[in-house]
Amino acid sequence: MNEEAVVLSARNVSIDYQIGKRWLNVIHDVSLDLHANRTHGLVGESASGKSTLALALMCYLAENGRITAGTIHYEGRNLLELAANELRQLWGSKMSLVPQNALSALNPSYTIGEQMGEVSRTHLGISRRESGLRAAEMLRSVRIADVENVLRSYPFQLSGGMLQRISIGMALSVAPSLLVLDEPTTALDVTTQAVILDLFRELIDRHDATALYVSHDLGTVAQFCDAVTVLYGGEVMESAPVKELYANPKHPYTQGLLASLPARANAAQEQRIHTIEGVAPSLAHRSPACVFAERCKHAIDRCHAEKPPLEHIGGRQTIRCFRWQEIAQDEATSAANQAAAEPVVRPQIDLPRKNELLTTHELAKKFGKRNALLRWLGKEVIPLHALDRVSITVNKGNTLGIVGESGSGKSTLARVLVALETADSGSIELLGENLSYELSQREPSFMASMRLIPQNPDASLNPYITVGSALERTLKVLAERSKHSENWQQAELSSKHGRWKRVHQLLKAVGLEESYRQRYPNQLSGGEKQRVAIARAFASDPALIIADEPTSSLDVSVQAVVLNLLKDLRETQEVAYIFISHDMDVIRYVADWICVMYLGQIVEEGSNEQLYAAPSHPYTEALFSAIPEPNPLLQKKRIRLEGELPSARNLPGGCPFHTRCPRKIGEICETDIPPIRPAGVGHFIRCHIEVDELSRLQSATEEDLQP
Amino acid sequence: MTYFLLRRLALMIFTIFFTSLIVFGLTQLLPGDIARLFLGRDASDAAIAEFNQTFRLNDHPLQQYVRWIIGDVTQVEGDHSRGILRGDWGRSFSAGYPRVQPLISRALQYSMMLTGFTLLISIPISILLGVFAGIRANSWLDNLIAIFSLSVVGLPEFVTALVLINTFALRLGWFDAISTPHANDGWFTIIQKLTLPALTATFVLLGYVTRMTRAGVQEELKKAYIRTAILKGLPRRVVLFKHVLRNALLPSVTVIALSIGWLMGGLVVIEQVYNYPGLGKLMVDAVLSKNYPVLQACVMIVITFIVLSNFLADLLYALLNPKVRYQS
Amino acid sequence: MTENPAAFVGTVIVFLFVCVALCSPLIAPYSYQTIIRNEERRAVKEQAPGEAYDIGYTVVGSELFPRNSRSRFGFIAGLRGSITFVLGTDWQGRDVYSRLIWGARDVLILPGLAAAFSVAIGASIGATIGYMGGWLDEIISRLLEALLAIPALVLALVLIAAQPGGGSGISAVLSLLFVIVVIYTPIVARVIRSATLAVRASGYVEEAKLRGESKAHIVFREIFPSVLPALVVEGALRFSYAIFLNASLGFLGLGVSPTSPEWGATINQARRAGTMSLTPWATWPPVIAIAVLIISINLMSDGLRRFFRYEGHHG
Repeated sequence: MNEEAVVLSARNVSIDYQIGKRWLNVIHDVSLDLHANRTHGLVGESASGKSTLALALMCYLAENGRITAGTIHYEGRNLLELAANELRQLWGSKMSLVPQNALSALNPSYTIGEQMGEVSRTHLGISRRESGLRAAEMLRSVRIADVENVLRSYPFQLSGGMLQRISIGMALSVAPSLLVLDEPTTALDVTTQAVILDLFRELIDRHDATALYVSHDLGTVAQFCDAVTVLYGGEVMESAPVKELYANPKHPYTQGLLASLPARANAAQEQRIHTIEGVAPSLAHRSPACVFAERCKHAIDRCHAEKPPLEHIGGRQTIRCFRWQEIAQDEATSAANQAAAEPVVRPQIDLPRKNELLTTHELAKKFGKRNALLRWLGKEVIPLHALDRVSITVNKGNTLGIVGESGSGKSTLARVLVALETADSGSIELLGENLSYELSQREPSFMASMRLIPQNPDASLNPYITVGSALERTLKVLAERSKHSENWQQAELSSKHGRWKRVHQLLKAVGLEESYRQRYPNQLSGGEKQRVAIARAFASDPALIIADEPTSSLDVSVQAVVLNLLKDLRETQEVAYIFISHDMDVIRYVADWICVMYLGQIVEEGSNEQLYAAPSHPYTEALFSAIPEPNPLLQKKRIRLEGELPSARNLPGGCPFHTRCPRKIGEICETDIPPIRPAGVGHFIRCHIEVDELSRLQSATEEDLQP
Repeated sequence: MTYFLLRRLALMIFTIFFTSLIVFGLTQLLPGDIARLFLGRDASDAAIAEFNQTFRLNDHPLQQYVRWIIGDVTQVEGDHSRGILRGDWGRSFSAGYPRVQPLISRALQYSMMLTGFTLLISIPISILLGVFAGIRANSWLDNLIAIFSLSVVGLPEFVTALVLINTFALRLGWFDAISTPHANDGWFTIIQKLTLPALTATFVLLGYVTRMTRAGVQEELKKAYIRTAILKGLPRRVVLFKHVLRNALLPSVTVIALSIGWLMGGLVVIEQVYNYPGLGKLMVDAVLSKNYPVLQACVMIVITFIVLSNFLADLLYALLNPKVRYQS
Repeated sequence: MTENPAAFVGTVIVFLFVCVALCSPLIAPYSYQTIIRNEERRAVKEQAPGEAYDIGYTVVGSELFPRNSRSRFGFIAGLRGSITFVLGTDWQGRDVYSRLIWGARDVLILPGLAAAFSVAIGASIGATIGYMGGWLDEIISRLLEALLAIPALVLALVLIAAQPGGGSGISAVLSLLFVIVVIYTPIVARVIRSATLAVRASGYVEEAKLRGESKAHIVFREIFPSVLPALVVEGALRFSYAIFLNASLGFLGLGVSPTSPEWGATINQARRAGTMSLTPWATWPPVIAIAVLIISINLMSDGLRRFFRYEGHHG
């Protein structure tokens, strides 16, 4: 197909949704073109309306949605004028959806074979047997090994990665020309995501299909797409070919978004991430002026009064901004100035084993104990190994980053440290004192010195209590029981007045106004809730804060604000962090020391610099190469992990990574536990391969990739 | 799955056994003499003694219990009991001490007839109403059905029964007000007699099943896989019947299975109003006249049916829900 | 309140009924047992001939006093102050209207108390086992499931049979109260248990634990507010079911006393006297009253459920 041909063209599309009794305008005046055989990315944060738009481009709306304006031309026809049965003919055969969560997108009561066969039977009118053969072929093309078994399985019996492969197989059953992918890898681990995206790329190319790829992840969009549209508040801000967008973003929002990526900050070696001030606009009413004006640092009066039109500026680029040319000039000059500035130096960090705050030694935990009574009742559960001899050290004032994917045990570690779960064996010491496994047996002052910022900000605040009361209560209870720190002015906190004063201090420290003290959690945004959780963690002036994936549920721009806040607080409060995340860019940004976990074990630990250079544990290496860089020009070496993550109920013997390790050397990996090898001061790798050998292998592969 | 079913079976047997203990135990808890309670305060001592002798009420409770279950092991004088396990339910307290077993089996027959007929009427109606209400949620039809559910259906059975009798039997004369079946009734007469009672019972069931079905359908329509089915281009009919209803009806099916137990033993009021000699009426009469052997037997039968219907519900759930079948 | 007019109407009606029930001694013109004597009636008839209608008929000995064919409801106006037999008298000569009002007391107060007790006891059990979990939860849940499997009426029959009975007055009331409470406590326990379980694993409950809050605080300040909607809705539902059960038992003749003016019992008495079709003005008012009451409570509960946005369980 001619590359210039336009497969789908949307012009001035607006969409309204009915919530309760009111109609809200969700998408406004969107125009974009999808060119043949190209993958077009649709990027936006959570309230941008990108999923709604993507589905609407297929002319699919929920019961309470209406397309109120515009046209959508697909292969010459205006979809909005088609009758319902004509649309049904298109759906599944000429345009298909690959949904976000494959498990919930499949009917749990029918086998995979049945659900795949339906599509081809409906559109091609073939027999059941033929559709079965066709389905088997599709599964083979998505590289599923045991095809017959999978066809007979039910969705809940299969893993996320497997289901996502099935999804795309199903979507491609009848060779569509347009594929809409709605955040298809958001729910997957980074290493699985890399494999799946490679597969998607291959299949889309093979089928000569055009794809619309919806995502909030700027990294995957950079690697996967040919052109990108940026959506904000339901309006298009900018569209451009991918290289152009990432190299020269023109719209202030795009610029802000790219700047707020931790990866960018890491690359520029900056201490703070640039953030976009303010919050996303609500859908309740649409601003008659530029929808980004309130948060834009380049906004002038005109921006607050009129809405800029979506202009075409040649080379398949569009932009909705009055001042983009002036802004581009300003940026050019400031970039030139910045190049002349001094690179920032990272502050000196403590070497390990000096100034220890918290240490654990051989911490182990299994879920599910064997119990005769439970077995008889049929409720027994095979034990799940969550932590396997974990030993970590946190120094005063440092940040220890713990990185791992699902099943790595990192969350369990956090919970065991604060005694929300009890360890089975091993020790935990805080400031030299041994901590009990049970919460009820711990000294209250230790509870005050070690606090947790939990993973899910929505669930961690009592919906019936105001923010201020929650903080005040925390202060009261902890003050009554703690006696460890000099800053902890107990006299002051024993009075209600003193406590409320401190509440205001805390709110100010996390950047929330005084008026927030009377708000209820359901009146706060996700980022604000997380800030309250942070304030609450700091309430007792702790020496150590454990942050369990504190930004994972937040938008990129909000994440930037929270990460900066955490960094600032570290300086002012002299606190140490254990920062847990699956996002390596975030860890690289915040952590001084890093531990990499896999299936409950620490496979590598070292300082920030050491970890990001060779030698690395093969898993760490694979993890790095799987992370998509938000830079379309940068190609990483591709190391892909084949196979599935082994179940934690059935741990592989020897090295737990041997089932997927691309550098497995032989039987020894299956039978013997790998030794801990030193690779530098404070740097340890748990592998059978000698450190020097690893260095050699890992540097060699990089050279091979050079053209 | 066989393991799952076997466990359920074991649980069933255990429950029935446990119930028999409770049922029997209750009569033993009564203060005062059972004989005196039944025969009245004015009964002569001689009458009481004879009564106690016939029914072995002076034996140790455990002895009485064992006799009830497995009967007389040795040769005894007077009445010889073979125990429940061999089909002998003992003798009724009432005049002539008739055997309980024929009473029970007759009542059981009638109850089963009524149950069957009720299910025949109620299942299609309630499911249809529920599905319509669910698909057209918040429409006038849905609201109408909802109001109907909340009002007519929540009423005590004697209220609906009286209204129905008054309208259809007395005013319109389509049916008889009294539904006592006779031995030589033809099948048409039987259906006539069963209609009003079954309709009354249907009203009660409609409340639960319709609401459950509606909720089930509503839930399903929101699911992501229904969107997938639509976007696969499947015809509307297929989406509805194959995908939506398959999962939506599951809770309703289990509720219906469970209601079998209620239909067998809980139609006490309906049987009273229509004078229909099922288990419910037998139980009420037994309670009013303090006829404990009959009451015990009725309760055991009813409990057994309840346990069976629970088992049926579990079985259906396991058959229809693959997750339960394949969880190891 | 205004979004759901039906629920609002229902609530108002329930409120009215409750008021009537509580104030019954003050409102009812007659006691529920007073039988209007024949002599009084004849005197009334003589004093205002042509205006007075016969007030139904009564059976005195074997004499039947026929009713006036022109009216269904007998009214007598203006004698003895403002005595009016608004709804006429029943087959025994008792004022229907008074019996209706007195009956409200039996219909609402006993079930109301029973509902309150079963909610209180059930909630305590449910919250405790929901929060504690473990083997206690397993065992008690199994027990509750077993009790729940039995239809309410059957269980009621069994429990009633297990009591000596025959007594009247307070002991009869107490034993009926006991029966209703035992029957409905399990379901409340189960509902509250689910609500507690739902909240127990929340982040903010864990946070409370990490602060070192006492168990009491966690249950009352953190968990309880979330459980409250369930509690309120269950309370209304149990009230409705208790009235239902009480009326059904009354109808079967197993209520507090066979001659009580309770509406279900009244209907039963009418059936047994064989006078249902002969004095419809005496037998339909209780039927209508029960119907209106129960429908109103159902509408009210539904309104409450929507108000709290509480999906809950069914039945």
